[in-house]
Amino acid sequence: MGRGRTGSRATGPARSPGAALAVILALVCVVAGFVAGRPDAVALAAPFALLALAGRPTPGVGEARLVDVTPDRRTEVQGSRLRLLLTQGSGGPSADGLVATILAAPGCPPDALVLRTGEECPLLVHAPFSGERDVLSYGAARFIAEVTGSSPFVSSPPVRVSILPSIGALLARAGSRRLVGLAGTHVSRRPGEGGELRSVAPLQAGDALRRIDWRATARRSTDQDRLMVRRSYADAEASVFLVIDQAHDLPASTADWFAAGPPRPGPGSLHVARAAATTVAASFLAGGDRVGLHDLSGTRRPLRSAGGARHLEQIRTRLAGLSVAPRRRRRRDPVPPPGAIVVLFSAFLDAEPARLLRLWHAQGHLVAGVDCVPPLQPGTTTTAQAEAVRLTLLRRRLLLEAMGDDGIPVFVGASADARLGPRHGVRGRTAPDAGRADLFSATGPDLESGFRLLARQAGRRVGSFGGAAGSAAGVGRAGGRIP
Amino acid sequence: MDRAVPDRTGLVPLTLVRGATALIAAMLGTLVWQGSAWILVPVLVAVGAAVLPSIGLALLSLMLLVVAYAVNLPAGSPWLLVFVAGLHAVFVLYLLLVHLPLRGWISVAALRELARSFLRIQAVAQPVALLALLVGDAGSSLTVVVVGVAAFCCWALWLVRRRRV
Repeated sequence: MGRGRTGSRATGPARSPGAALAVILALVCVVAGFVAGRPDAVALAAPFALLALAGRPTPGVGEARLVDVTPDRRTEVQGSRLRLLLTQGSGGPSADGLVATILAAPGCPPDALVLRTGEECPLLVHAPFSGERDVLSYGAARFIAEVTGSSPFVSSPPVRVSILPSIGALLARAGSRRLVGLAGTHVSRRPGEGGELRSVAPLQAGDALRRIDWRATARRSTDQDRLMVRRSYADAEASVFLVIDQAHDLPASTADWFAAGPPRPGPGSLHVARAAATTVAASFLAGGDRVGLHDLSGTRRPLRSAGGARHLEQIRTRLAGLSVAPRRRRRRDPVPPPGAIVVLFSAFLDAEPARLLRLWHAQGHLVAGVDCVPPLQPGTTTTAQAEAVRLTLLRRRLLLEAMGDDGIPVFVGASADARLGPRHGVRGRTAPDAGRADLFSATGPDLESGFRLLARQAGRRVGSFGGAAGSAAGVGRAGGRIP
Repeated sequence: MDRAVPDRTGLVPLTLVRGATALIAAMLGTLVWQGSAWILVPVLVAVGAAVLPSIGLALLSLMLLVVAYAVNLPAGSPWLLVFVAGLHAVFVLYLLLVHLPLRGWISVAALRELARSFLRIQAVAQPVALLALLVGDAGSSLTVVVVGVAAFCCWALWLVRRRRV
């Protein structure tokens, strides 16, 4: 997590109306006292006159920031809250006085925090579930202790944090059809170094001496003239191609679908995509496989397939940086590495992700979709909104069912983040929406069950060297049957 | 909605400060309006000035108090000392609050700083008020007036020297 932009901006002139107000009141007191012939009324002017004298122009601080708000490194995210530290800025004043800081979290009215010069104050703000977001806008002005003089209000760039998606429980790993490399834990079909026994055969030229099986030699070579060696299948790694659809970020509350302004801090489909993709990537990378990352909007260059813990951090950082971006017109569709397992993370609001999955499926890849819509909370306010939500969800349901019929399994991605609550069903359902629970509730297996099934089916297929389409269709149908 | 909130002790909500400001102004108004039904006007203006970010309302509230003091309270009233302190406090709080959003917090250290500055100015304003009372009571006695002025000048000089040191 870290600061984003730097620099500051001063807004408005510096002068405070306090000194002018003090002069006016002092003159009123003096005039009233002289008119009434009362020295005590004139004496009322004394504090105002002194305040007007004290209200000299504050030493200019120019464009320098009066306060800084930075993430507090000592205590990081506390649940859904992020701890920041408000300190006096490097260009702040050294004399005594007050510093008034105006704080505004996104979508909230501003609050004031008045501190003595040099005071620090920790702040708690709402942290996004994952991703990069402005969490606090702020600015400050300095007052002298008499309050009749002030410096100009200096607004600072907002505090922007980047929260890496969390890693869920590791999933079962499916082996791809075409394994590559000499590392990994998958058993390939080619002879080589590995743990899976292929055959016990007489020693030939080129066999390593350490592969001689003395027991087999004693058992099978009765006249002791032949040495038997154990031959194995080579270990290899699978290649996984993660594709993120960042065209939409569907909020959990359907009321927020129609809200204008900055995005709400709650979980959205993009967060689910980040969490699920991180979990899938971590699961495969932990087994020594290679994982690549691509986004359908084409905002950044694809992250090419690689393995290792460092690559996982790269994937998490890339995922944290994802934001909503419309899909660009492409000359050609993304091409997964040969034989790769393709996992597409999308809210499936339109037909494009389903088309790509069908295309890759037809090309012989082992494919799976991850439905990234978070557990929905019905909360529409008008009938038109409710109908719009219903039609959107209906279309989505038809798309998902069509994919299931084509043998493409779709798993529920919300299960990757335990903070999103129940895996299935509707939360906070209101009476008018109660009858539409079937549309609001997620269907299909969760991520863990889905990948376990996928791994089982892929294992059977690899074991029997059977047809690809048949086994993938089996997974799709199996996925659809799980409640 | 999730606002940004401070995570430490030693902070006073601005709502409390606004309430205290309106209360002081209303109490001063009660003194000068002397049970009249018109007391509602300065009270309402005081509440408005403490809540709304309007320098005009603050000026109106203070003017209502000053003019009412000059008109309603008899000359030589000992309430002058209270009024000098009260008007000063109300003025400072109005000026502070007029720049700030409705909700927020102020630290106890900042309030202490305000109180220190308040006392610094009152250290001069209260003797001036005393002198005015003295002049009002013993206007015909030149000796008393001269002694009072001399004492005030000595006090003011001592304060200035102390501040420079």
